[in-house]
Amino acid sequence: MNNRVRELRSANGWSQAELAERLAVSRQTVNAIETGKYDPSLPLAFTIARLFGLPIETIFDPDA
Amino acid sequence: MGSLKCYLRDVGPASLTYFASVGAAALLSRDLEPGLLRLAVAALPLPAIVWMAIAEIRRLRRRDELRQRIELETMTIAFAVSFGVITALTFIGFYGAIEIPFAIAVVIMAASWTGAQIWVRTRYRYWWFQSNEDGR
Repeated sequence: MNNRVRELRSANGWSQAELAERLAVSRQTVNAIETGKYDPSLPLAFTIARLFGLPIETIFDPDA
Repeated sequence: MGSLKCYLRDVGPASLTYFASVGAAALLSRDLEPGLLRLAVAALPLPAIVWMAIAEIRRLRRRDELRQRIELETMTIAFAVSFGVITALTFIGFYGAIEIPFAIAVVIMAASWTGAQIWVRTRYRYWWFQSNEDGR
């Protein structure tokens, strides 16, 4: 599943560690999501969407 | 808090109790004749094993979700591998000429778990020394 997490994080000027702290997960989790190695759980995906103020489907693309 | 300190806080008391009860059981059972009393003494570490399991599960539930995923995948792979190897060795022991000691099962389980940890962590690029901040 493709996602725009890296792009949105960079646009906000946050490091992976800063985003991880805001999401209450480890930096490795953020890295694994950004590189597409790990698809987040539904609660975490909603937290990410809420943090960036965007609908979940504009961040995560299940068809890619 | 460092990961070793966290680990010792969460699992340390249970582990110490386990090692103490194993030592006590070994010492006490030396002079006992086979029977119910010796069986009861040999079972001394069981409550500590249950405590350790509960402590480990509680600790795992506080980790972040990728870490939980890694542990789940590791346990799944390690169980499958060790079960297969131990079953194969059991049959070799039954029908083959070689005698395989039962204690080898513990080594196989530990080796399977270690191998699976390395494989899964490599896949997610999640190394031991980067995991200080993965507790909630």
